[in-house]
Amino acid sequence: MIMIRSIFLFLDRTYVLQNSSILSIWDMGLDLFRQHIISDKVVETRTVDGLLKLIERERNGEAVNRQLLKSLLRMLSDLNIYQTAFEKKFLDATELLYTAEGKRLVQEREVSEYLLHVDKRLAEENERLLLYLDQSTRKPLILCVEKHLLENHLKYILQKGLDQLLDENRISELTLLSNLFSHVKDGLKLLRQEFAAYIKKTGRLIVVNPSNDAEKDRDMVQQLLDFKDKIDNVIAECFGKNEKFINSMKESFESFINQRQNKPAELIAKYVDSKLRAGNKEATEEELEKLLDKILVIFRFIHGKDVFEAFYKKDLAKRLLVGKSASVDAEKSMLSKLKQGKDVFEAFYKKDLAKRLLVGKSASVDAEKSMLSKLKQECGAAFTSKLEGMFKDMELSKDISLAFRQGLQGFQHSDSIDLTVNILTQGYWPAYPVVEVHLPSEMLRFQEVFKKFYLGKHSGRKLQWQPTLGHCVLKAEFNNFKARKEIQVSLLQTLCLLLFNDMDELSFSDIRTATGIEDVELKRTLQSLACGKARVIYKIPKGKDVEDTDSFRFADDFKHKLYRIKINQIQMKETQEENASTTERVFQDRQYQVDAAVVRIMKTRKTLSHVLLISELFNQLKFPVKSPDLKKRIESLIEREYMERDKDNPNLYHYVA
Amino acid sequence: MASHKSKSKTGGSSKTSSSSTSSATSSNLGWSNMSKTTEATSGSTDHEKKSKKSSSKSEDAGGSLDVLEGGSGPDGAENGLVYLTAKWDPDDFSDGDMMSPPSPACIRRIKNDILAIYSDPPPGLCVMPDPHNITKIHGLLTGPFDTPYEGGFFYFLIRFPHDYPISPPRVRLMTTGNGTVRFNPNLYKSGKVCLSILGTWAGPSWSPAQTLSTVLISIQSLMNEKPYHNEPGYKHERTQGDSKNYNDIIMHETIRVAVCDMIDGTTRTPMPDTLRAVMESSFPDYYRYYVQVCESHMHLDGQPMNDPFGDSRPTFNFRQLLKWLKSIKARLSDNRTDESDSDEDEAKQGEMTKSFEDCDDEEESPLKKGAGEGKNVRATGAEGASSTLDSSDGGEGGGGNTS
Amino acid sequence: MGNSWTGVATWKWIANDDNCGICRMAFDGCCPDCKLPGDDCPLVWGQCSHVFHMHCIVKWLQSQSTNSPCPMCRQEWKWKAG
Repeated sequence: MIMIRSIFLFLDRTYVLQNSSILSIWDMGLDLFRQHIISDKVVETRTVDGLLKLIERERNGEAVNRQLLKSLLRMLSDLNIYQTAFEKKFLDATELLYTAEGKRLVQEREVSEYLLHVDKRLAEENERLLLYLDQSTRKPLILCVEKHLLENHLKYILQKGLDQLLDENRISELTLLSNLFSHVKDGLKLLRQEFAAYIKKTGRLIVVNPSNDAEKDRDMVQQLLDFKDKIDNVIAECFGKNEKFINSMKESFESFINQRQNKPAELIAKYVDSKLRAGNKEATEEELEKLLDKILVIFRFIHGKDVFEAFYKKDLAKRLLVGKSASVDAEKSMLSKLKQGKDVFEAFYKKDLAKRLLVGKSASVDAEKSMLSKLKQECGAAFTSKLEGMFKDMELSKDISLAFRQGLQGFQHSDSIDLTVNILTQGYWPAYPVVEVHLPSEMLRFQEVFKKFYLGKHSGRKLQWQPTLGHCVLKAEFNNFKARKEIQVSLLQTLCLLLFNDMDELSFSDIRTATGIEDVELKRTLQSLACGKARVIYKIPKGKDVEDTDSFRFADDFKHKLYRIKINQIQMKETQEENASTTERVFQDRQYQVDAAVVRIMKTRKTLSHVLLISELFNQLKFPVKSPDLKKRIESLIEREYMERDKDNPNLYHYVA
Repeated sequence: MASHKSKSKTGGSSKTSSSSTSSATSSNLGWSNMSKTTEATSGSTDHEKKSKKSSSKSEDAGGSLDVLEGGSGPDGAENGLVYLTAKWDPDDFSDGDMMSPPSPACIRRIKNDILAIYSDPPPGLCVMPDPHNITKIHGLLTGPFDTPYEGGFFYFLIRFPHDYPISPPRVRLMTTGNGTVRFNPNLYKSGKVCLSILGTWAGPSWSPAQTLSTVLISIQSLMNEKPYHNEPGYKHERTQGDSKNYNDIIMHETIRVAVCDMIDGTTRTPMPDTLRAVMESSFPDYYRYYVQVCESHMHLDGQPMNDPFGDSRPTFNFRQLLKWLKSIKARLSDNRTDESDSDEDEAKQGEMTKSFEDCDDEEESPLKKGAGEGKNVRATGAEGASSTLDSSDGGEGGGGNTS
Repeated sequence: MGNSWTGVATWKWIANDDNCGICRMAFDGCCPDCKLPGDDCPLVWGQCSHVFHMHCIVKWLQSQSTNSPCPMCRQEWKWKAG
């Protein structure tokens, strides 16, 4: 055609230009070509079919003459019949192909493989667009591919493979998944939902422990931390730190962590304790600091609000007033004692902190204080004021003891007891039961002198000694005074050991009478001295457990490679009891809340079926409860005649005014 | 609580009427045959006034639809003398006590006071903090048993100063029939509460050991069996029967203003929905008592109330009160159930359905209330009109008395 | 012997009430303006035997121009010598 145009160039330039009604040679040529050749049905069909066949072959992986495709398609474009003759058929063919392919492959292949395939397909189609397809086809083509390979299978893909990808932490595939999904309608939304469901499901497995397996609980916090790290990483790497994903993650964590009451808070407190005890041994200050931050993040998910604020906002007045007198008792207890997750944490944290402070076990005061300031930020000053008070007590105690010792100088023998006293403000520390023991006269005298000294400085106070918390360092001589050792023991252990200064052998009851230590405690104490690793006394007869009939003898031949020896108290059992009572208290407080809620609901409803009552309770109670527990509370309220069962229908309750 | 003062206040009392009349005129609405009391009888003595009033029948039944903003009579006008100058009005911002922000210590103490009431509620009183301002407390006292105040709802507004508990709170009685009714020698029309611990009366003054609870209980104890004797110098009756007469007046006014007007009046004071709900849910419990009071006092109807302290008062009309009470009862149970058969059925029904309604979302209640209210306004209006006609021939037959 | 002994004792105020009659806070704690109980927020006793946080009673006494009654018993407040 170029040749024809060249030949008739003159004509084109002179005549045609002046006659607007006549097309240029070029255009006329195209026109004629369209009319007589391509518009011929047979030619057109053959051309287009040929094109489609070539493309299909290429899609199937064969190498084809792309140049030919390009020329032909250019021709169609130039002839202005690309859209009508080709594009529609092309898109139809594409749809047909990918619908079938999507349906088949999504079933056959692993999700990750499938995603890679989709990605490959998209890349291919893009290449096709670059190489020979007209640009106008881009949008419908890509949409078509995405629709049939992805959009129609979103849910299926997520359900089939997301959990696995997350389980195996397949970062690149997850990134691909999120990229692909971000292109289709509802893709990210669905992904987010499934992501949240995964977190809840997995988290619940970590947290919930129906058999209360101690082993499992011990690892819970570490697992939570690891899980949180992993999820954070996925969000950062794969989901581009998308705000919505972060929020879903938070909600999900909050949801599963509160599925079990109290325990997570308790275990977090314990975990912090273990880390603060170990301190530099396991990690540098910075690492510890980072770890504490992470724990705080987990802690943040645990429900718990300031009692008054929560109630004030929820219109406490409203509920109280409507339920005027009947539930007053329950409401009263609930108000004064409302405990939630954070309180559980505080109770346990306090107990552990007390131990660390009193036994001097804390790894670093700096780390302790840093933890405290983090808690303060998290829960407000009111939450930590008592904990801060504990630190303050320890500081003040140092000063007081120093002043005391200075005051004693002059009229004291150099080999006398070196007394330090930790004075605890009662309201700030865990409640310790008052224990009376018999101190040797010298110690008793010291104690009295100190008491006088202290009360002289601080009038209006009452001092209560806590023998179970004291500890001593004793200088002991073994092997006929040849081997000197320093033994670090508790005060109770000390009392037992001191008896052997005067006697070589003592019966259990002798020791019992002399020390005044109560039986269970005394057995534990003697066990630690006679049956532990470092045995400074012998038990007669030998054995693991201490009996009332046993006797004890000083171990003069005691040997130990160290000069300073620490003999630990046996604490296992005590700790369990303590735990039980701490949780017990919290649980009791919650009973009142349950009672109050039941009475409140019944008061307004008057008559209600069991099922409806339970479901209302679930709505009203702000902490996780189990329905057997609720049932127990309902029984108890029936016993106390706050409500009664219907005579004919045991599943129907009536309010008793 | 208020200690007796040596100074007599009688002289001052009649003066008051003139200053408070104007506001009274507009406030007795919805209570057509009482509202005529007020039309410009100002200079006249109480006796004249009352006789006039009983003869001149009302004109402004229509006025009952007006709504008033709660104005108050001038401070201390009641007895013509201001005994103590302590600031008492919780809405008075003229001084720094109320303007400066409350200290944290003050807020903690207020919270403490409120929680103390919640955790150990004294009988017959409930409080709720203002949702926007914790230094402002809404309180509702119910009149103690065996007193002429029994069954009445007395709404108080309490504000704590920034240095509470060093300074006492300020308290105002909002239930005053819009500044027209003095419920007690110590509870003025203006809303002023005369109580030594509030600094508005002679006697043992405020101490920081007092709490919201003790203040409210002190106020409650002003509402005693024989409030007549609260007035200094009235330890003994001036005229025999004064105390009984005063009790009759208070009983009437309690049902009229502290029950009907509080629940139903067009002038009703804006108060928190919660407290309103408390009133509405207590109303049925007291209903029998109200009815019994009205029925046993009907013989007084038509007589002027001779206030022993010379206050201007309307005419006894227990029949009218009974009607009003019935319409309120009907409306309250109407809100709960659509059918109302016999009284007893209705009562039961009301109880049952009410309990379910109560559990509905609170958002719903204003709607219902609104609907009921509208209906009620019509009802009272009509009854008011008819009773105006009826009362001249002394008896009111019809539905009113049958129950 | 040259032994050392670290004893532990708890202290609380000797008061015939649990709470301060003025601020209503527990004596175990401190007055609402303070953070820690103890020397920073001491208790004081009147001759009438009533006890308050020092900060609370001082605030009250300062607010009174003429007489200064004990908030609990209204007797004139007299400090009890420590």
